[in-house]
Amino acid sequence: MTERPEFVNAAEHLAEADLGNGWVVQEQLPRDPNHTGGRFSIPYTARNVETGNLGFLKALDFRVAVEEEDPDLRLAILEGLISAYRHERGLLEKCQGHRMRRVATPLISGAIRVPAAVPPLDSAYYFIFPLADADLRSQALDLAMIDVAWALRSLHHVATGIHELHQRGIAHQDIKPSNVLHFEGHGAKVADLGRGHDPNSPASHDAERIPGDRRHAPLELGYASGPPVDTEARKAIDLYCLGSLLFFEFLGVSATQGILFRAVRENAPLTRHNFQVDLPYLASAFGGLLEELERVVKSYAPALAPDILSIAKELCHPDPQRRGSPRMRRLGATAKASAMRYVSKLNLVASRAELGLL
Amino acid sequence: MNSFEEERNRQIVPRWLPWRAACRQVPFDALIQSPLEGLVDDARFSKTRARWATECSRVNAADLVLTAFLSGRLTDADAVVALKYLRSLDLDPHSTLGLVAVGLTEESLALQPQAARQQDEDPRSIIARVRATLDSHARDPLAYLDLAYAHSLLMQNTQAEKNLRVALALAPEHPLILRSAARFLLHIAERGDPGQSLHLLRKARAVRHDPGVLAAEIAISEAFSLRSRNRKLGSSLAFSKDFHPFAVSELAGTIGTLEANHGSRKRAREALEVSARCPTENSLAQIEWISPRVGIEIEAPADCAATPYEAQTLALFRDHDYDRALSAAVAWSEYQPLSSRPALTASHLASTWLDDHETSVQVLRAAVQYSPDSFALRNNLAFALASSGRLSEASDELGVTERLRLSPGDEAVRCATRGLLAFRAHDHEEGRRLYIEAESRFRSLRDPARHALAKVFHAREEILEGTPESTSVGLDALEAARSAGLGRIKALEYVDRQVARVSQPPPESQ
Repeated sequence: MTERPEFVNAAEHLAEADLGNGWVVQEQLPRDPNHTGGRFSIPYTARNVETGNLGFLKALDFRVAVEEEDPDLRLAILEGLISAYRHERGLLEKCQGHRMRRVATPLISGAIRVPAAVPPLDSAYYFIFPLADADLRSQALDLAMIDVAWALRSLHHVATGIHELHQRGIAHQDIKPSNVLHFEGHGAKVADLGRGHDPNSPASHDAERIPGDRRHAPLELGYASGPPVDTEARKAIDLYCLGSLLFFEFLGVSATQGILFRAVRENAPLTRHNFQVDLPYLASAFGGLLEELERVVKSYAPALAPDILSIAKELCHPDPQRRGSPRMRRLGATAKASAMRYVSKLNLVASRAELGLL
Repeated sequence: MNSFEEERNRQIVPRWLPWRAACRQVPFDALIQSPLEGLVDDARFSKTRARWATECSRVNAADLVLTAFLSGRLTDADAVVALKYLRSLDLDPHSTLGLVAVGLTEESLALQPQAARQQDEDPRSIIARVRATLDSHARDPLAYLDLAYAHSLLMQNTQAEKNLRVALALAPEHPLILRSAARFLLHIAERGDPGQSLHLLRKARAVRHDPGVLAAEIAISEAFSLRSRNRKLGSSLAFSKDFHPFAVSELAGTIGTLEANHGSRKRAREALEVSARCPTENSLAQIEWISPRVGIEIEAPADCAATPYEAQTLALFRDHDYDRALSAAVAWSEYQPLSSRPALTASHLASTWLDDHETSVQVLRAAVQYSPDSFALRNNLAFALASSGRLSEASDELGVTERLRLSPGDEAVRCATRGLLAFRAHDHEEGRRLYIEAESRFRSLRDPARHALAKVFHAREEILEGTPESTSVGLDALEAARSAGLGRIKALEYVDRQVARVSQPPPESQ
């Protein structure tokens, strides 16, 4: 028996590489958990030779598949990685094509052969994004002093990004603080479409019951037996997550985690399988969270408190039947999922905050 | 005389408590404390941990602690360090992060236990507090449930029912709301008619699958000698392994009582043993009540129920430890203000066994607010007041009972209490006439225990007043008490002592 040759991971050998399209890869970044990309990509900085601008390069990492011992499983992981990469690239190209201003789209994407690597995995597939200054999570690390105008404007930008995606039939499904990037002078953008849904571009995660991060996802998804029923239901997830960001910015905790902790702390006998039985306990816990939000918002911006609370309540109520404005609810589910309403509402409160009308 | 009858057909009729107090009855091991268990994979958790390692901030600390706690990684060392960090900060104790910091133990991120009984809150302040929250998060069924509870404490039953109907409309299949509503409808029902209460439970779908709702339906039916169609289903769910023992405790206790009443000791024992595995305080009291009646000894784990006041009262009373039984009964009546039984038990213990009329008055005054039409409460209050010399107040209380429709037994009790008032007003003739009338009524009702009790109280009054008839009445009372097997209540001891003193021959002069 011969020893297995050492795997040379193309994605790990990109430092200093000239991509041949005006970009040169610079140093590999530590897999900073605050950055998007997850475990299946390796991050680098890249520099544009002509402009000198820096970019964030995300290279697809096959290591997790290659290191799998079971050949069937290895194949399945490889298949999954490739199809996920293709799916994300397809969505990003669609976003680019529609010039979405509040969605972080790549400056360029492509593949480069790495001579040291062995075929067929001798190419590194990559995206280069504009380099963000921070994400929402790192901006909100210290809650001691909240910049209300900045927080509300960020939310307005996220709502705009969600609206842009929804208009083109895409549901993001994984809106959370680390997927909101900040660009100096340009505001916030929604990033990481890796869990996105487009009815015209099926993805393996479409069959998942909870497509995104469970800690930020609507509570009812944990009780569902299957994936969200349609694209409208998936869009509604984005709006809940938008509301959850609002709680995160002011309270430092997502709505989902806040509600669940408060319910558990009250000894609520949650069933985890019967949503209708658990809902009153979750709704009561949500009431406590709203009261806390009211206290905090009033201490910074009393004049804006009613509007901000109304937005939070409409977006994040644990009962999906009670989300959205009462008027929009009467118009049906499609209207309920419309992000446009919250783009306007958040723009209004953000503008008032920027004008000092707190 | 004090009106107290031992319960002849105790059933596990559901309690009604504010919803948070009801939740605190549930033992920790019956609760799901990690609702995200299995839903946050290791990779995501590692990322959360790495964020905390990269940047030590309150947001990252809270995220790690909450993720670890909610996903069941309670012993994660980094999360414990993050919790300590949160504790070192000056956090608002009412904020979510503050609650996380103080609510979890540092050793293993477990939830700190909270007192099973909440601080007693004035019903008016409950109403004000809940109404304030309803403005911001209306349609919260549990808030309406608490509002109904507070109104019922204030005897505003119309408002209570209105709020309860709202809670039911918002969550028509919720077990806690169904059980509370059934208890309330029983409380306000005219002449104890369980029709509305049973209708509510029987039309609910939850009665087919929820052991708590099913237990309530069977227990209320049995309490009123009505046959429940769900007995068979109850027997099968009570022994189901699909539920935590706490969840089926009341159902198993109800089935055990039913089997015991039908003479099947073996099945009764089996069901009561299931009930005793992790009992509610209500099922524990049921076990305490039924065990000596059917000659079955059932062991329940020590300190198993959070507020076992009724079970303690029954056990201590049986052990003749009347002082501690009274303390337990007082706690029981504070815990269940809407029920008259705890107050009646406490007043019986205080007035009859301990001559502690002041405690009796205090407990009864509180109870009578919630059940103003309870003859037994009013009568016992009059008895305690008269026994402590407050005749005018006693007379007022007894006067209130004039408008009530009474059973022949209650009529006889009131007659005896009137006799007491007359004696204390030194109207011996009238007092004697009334007591004799009460004794005669009890005899006609074939109630030897209360017949003897009336005779004993009559004899005590004759002796206290020093009437010529005191010795003969005393001897007669002692004979009645002996043949009825009356316990050694204070009045009987007094009569016995005084009769013995009078009957003793004078010491011979030397």
